[in-house]
Amino acid sequence: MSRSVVCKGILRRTLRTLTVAAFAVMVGWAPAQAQTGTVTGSVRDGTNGQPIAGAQVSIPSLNIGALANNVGRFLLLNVPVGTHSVQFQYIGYGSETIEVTVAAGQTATSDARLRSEAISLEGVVVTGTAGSARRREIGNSITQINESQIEALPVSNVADILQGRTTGATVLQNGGMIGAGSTIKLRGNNSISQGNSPLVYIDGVRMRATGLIHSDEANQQSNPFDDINPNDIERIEVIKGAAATTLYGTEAAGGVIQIFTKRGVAGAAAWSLSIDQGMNTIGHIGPDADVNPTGLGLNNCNYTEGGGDSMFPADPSCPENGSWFKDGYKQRYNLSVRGGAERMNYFMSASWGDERGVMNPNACSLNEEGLKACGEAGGFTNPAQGQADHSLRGNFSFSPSDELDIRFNSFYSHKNIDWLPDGNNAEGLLLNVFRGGSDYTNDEDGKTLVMELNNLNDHFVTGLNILYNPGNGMSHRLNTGIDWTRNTYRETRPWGFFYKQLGTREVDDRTFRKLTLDYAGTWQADLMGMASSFSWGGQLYNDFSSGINGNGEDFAGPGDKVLTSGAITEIFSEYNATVTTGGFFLQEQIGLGDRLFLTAGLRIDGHSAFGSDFGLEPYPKASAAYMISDEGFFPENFGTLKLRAAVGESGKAPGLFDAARTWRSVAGDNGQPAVTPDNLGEPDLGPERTLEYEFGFEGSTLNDRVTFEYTYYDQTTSDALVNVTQLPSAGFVGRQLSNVGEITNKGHEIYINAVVVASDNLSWDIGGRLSTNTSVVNTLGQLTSISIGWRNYVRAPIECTAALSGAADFDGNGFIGQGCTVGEMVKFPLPAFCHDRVQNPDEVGAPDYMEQCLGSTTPTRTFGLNTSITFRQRLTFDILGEGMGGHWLSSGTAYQNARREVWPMCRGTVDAIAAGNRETLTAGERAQCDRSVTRYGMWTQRADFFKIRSASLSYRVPEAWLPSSIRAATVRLQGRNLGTWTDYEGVDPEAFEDGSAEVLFRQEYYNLPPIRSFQFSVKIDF
Amino acid sequence: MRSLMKIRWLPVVALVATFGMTGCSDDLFNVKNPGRILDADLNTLKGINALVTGMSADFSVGYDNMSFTSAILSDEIVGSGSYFSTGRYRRGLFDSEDSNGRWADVQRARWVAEGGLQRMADIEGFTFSGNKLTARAYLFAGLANRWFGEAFCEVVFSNPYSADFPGPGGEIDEGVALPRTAAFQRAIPALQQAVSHGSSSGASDIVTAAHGAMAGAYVGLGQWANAMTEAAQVPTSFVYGAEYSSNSGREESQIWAETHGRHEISAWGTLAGTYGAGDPRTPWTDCGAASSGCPSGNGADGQTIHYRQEKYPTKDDDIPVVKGTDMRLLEAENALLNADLVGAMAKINDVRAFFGLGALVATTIGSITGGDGGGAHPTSMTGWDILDRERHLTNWLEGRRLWDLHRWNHPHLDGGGVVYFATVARRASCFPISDDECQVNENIDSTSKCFTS
Repeated sequence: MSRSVVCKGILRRTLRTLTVAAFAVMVGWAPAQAQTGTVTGSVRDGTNGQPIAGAQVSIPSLNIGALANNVGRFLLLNVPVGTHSVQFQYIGYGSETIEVTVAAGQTATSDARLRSEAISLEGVVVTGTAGSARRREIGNSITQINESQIEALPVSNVADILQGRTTGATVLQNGGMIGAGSTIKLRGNNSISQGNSPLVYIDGVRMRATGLIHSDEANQQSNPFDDINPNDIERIEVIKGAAATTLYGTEAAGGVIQIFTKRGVAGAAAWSLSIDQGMNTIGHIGPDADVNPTGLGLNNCNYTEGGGDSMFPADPSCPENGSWFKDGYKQRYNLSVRGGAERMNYFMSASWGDERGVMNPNACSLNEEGLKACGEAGGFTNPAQGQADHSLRGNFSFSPSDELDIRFNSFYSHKNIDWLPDGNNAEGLLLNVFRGGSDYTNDEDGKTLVMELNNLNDHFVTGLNILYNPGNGMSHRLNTGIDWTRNTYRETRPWGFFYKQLGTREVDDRTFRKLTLDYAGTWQADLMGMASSFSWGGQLYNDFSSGINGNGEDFAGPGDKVLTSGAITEIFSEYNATVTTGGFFLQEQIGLGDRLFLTAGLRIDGHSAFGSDFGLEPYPKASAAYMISDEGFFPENFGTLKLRAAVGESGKAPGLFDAARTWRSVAGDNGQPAVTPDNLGEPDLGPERTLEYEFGFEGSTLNDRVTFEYTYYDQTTSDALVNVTQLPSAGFVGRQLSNVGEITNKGHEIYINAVVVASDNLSWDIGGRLSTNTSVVNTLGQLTSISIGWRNYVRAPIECTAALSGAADFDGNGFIGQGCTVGEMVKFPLPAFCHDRVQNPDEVGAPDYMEQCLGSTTPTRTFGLNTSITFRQRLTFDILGEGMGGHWLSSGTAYQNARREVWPMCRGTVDAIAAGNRETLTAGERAQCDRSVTRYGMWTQRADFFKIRSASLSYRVPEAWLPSSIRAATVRLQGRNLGTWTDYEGVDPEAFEDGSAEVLFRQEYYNLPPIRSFQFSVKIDF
Repeated sequence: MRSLMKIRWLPVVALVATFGMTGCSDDLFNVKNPGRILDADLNTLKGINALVTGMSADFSVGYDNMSFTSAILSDEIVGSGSYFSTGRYRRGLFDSEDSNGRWADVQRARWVAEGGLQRMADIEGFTFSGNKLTARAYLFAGLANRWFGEAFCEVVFSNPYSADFPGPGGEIDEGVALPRTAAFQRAIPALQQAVSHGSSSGASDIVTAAHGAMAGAYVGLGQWANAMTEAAQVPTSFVYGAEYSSNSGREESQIWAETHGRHEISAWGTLAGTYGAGDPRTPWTDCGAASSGCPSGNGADGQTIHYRQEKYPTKDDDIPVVKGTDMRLLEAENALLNADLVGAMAKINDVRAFFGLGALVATTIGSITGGDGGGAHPTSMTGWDILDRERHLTNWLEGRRLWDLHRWNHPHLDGGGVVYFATVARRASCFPISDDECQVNENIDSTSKCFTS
């Protein structure tokens, strides 16, 4: 019998015992039989002493088991007298075995301290597998982040959890506005046109996890992924490539993130209250203070020292504190309760928070006559940039029999986000401040803050999970649910607004709905001496989105407006779209001696966006996992080691109308109905397919004090969907998605964690992660180059020429093709910055330019370092640093400011030109700072950086200090984004003007960089 | 026991049945989404109005873009904005990638008209001959081809005409690079058809516009006699415009948006901004003046003074594409080509009088000398310099200036500039074949036809 079958048996016995155990823990237990005894005790986190509710406690040799209750206590009844090995397990922790001697009629005590482990080979995972499986059986890499890790992190949202702690994940913050979404990619880019965001599931329900309405004025957008309350999360599982995501079929080539929220545990109601108080702040902006004393006019907008800074003169609308910044207050309150009985339990939570950003709203306002009043007289009434939000969750489980488990999970959140005008926006605050006097506001930049930009997000997720285990190795799982998001964006320029005097209002209201129906069955049996696990299943997803976008302008007077307040009103668009996708799969896993596991599977998919002639799409997979450390020849003292290999395919579907030839309704001749060509259509259009090979190993050594993991992956996306330019001279202009491209994407992922010291008095962990990723374009069909915006390109390989090979390298940072052998093919990253760069930098004279492709816009290597030190299981210090590199970023800010002679690094050149000495300057100096000849490429630079993402100091208050009604209390001081090291000369190497937009291109352009935050938290369990 | 086994397998059977059906059923993945029109659905009598209005709309959208771009690339206006492209155009740079959008615009405008005419001819129940809609469609086909010839260095046609379905002039589209005269040649039979169908349907404005457009096409072919015949059909007061409207964003005037909505181009430092001050043909507002009502006195580059054009003061203002004053100036040009200074000045002064301006007296015929480094000469009183100046001011921001510069081999092209001087010895005087065309058209030698600058 395989170990997995044994575990199933233990689980059933566990459930049976649960009621009695829980009851006994609450009321006290008297032994009932003389020939047996009882084992009781607690299960706690070995590092911080927190109880682990739901931990599995068992004596495998006796097939006896129980779950720890909601305060971490357990009870094993009717244990035969003698010495037994009691095993303690919980997801995300290393297992622990303790010998215990049971005397007749006596109660033996066994307290366990489990150590958190990112890699626990006996732990159960469910993502990427047909049913649940032990990690030792899985042939691909999988990352788990568990509850105890999450609780220790200073996080505001789920993206914060993943950042720096997930190998293979690139999480870019993009900007510093509260409510702005991050960009999350797993293993870089493997799609040119269909996005590179992973699929996200929460409790089995697929949810929207890409940006909502993009504000053209704020140039940021929120992401419903961030709606999930981190306090509700039990664990997160991440699989990163097609070899692991095959069973998710079309859409899963970008990886899968699965979030599991907390469940109830038997026992009386256990409450938990957390209170967070903190502030957001920001440091000096732009180049160093010695050349940039005002911080590009943001840190100090009333700078007069030494006669002031001519580039950034004092602004009459500057707030009273002399800065466009002020610290923003943040507060959050979270209350949860979990409990239940044998057959029914619950977890409920509520959260409320309000967080304000760092921009100072005390600037200008409009009075009743529509005139602005700036500075002290302003009395600005609009809310500061930030968000208020609340959420509710209710998770309920019901087990009508030992075989059946029914779970009902519901979540609702509401967010109210106030943006500020930012980014590439003539009416934006930062653009006008950064440009000093060369701006749109006549250098009275506070006028921009009168614009009102607001998002209302409502998000509802509900799902039903039915687990049916009728015995004899058979199990069934049915997930069904709905993810519903409504996003309303409102943008108002009040009457009297400086840029549009009569004012405007825009409203964009959209609803997104995803329906999930997911069934999987597994039959486990012995098959000719081998453990066979045969799985089958199918999924059906239905995505519906709708929206209306309208505009009203030219108001008659001041006051609050609606669209129809405008003399001119217009409906920009109405959108209704449905996409249906689904398929079924078969999988067989063979286990040999519980150490070698071979898996083969096939998924077949249909999709409403496939061409009419396309049909269904098959995706095969195969994997092997080999617990080599279980072999007799393996060094006994080494520890555990699993070798694994996997190959599989996944895909991404084209868009809604891409397969059909269509025309679009427009207006012409002053409002008359008209048509214009829209989409050429391709009946054979199908998904792009990503084939991935993945090899690696994972395990632990030195008595499990060192855990490690290594993975190499190699992806090839064939039939890549490329927006192929249609022959323009044929008239039906535009681009048509076609399956003509090919991309390769490969890299290494390394994880290691060492417990340097592990004792009751001191615990010290050090961990590190390194991920590399090289994504290159092999072909674009007949195309040679696709512009994706701002000189970001997707380019097909070219033949190396002498001119390319020997071109000048302006700054020593290299370029693609540098030193290539003439005649060889030069490949380009996906995507690449290609810009004009000076070729004669050291010559005195005008610059000569040559277009050079510089490198990827997406980081090609990411590394994280963290350490955690705990004293006496009470005082814990945790710090996480993360670095990214190998990528380039254009500073639109620096380039545009150089064009305006207001970039501080250019003072010397600007002064020389003003003094009539232009002809004495080198071409390099002129190429960067001479407004008449500078080019973007001179401000496109390597963007490597290292940041202190977070640091926290927490203290678990001694129980003796607490009133009896309180079980535990922890206080915590946390900080995020505490330092940045980079040679990038723009505003911030992570800044991106379009936030979490699902696009390949990146560029920093007058947007607020990521901010720093500090928070003090108290968590009380009662 | 048997019944228990049945129960266990029930979900499996149900699943297989469900997904067997879903996998084989077209209905499950055959969703209906509103908002788009399938190509075949346009083949209806009731759709013809929308089809022809679409020709007008696509013409306007593209012509607007071209007028904005060519204004910066020529000497009409100064690029005072922050667009990446502005920095290139004002220095005289315009390469095949820059051309992508403009090339697509003109090809679409041409094809929706020409292809639409083919579709209209096949629609059952539609009276093709002598129909005003037919006349209008032919007019847009002709105007688009005139625009193609005037703005682009070379032209390519790949659709819709074939040996089985030749065009009105017997055209067959072979998809190869042709000299720009091919577009003028293509415009003429279409415009003749517009005259024919317009005359029989009583659409006099279309007929007059077609005559005027033909005059321009003949000029492009160097057939001045034919050009004069056609120009004579157009009264001085006649104007036929590409239509713009505040009804929807797509219909709005881009030149308005780039000057009133944003500050991307300015008349400051240009002929219109200096010599043309107070000229009714080139109205502008100094945004630096306190009473201007502008949000800022400068362009979006933060440096250039914003003289905001007022020729198109609202989103609804149409761009003239055929007008009688242009015809008179073509007649003046023809006179100068024939050394008839008196005749030329008479035509020029007709135009000036039409706008309420005083007559000019030329000293000699002369030649086009250009201004001090940029644009038309502001004060020279030779016949050619006056014509240069008058065409500049009369057709200001109408998308015609670059063609004049090219046609005249204007001195401005030799490294000249307005405010910002060229960084190349020879300014671009026309839009090249686009990079997109070079990438996907196997008949185009991209190494010789497409370039970067």
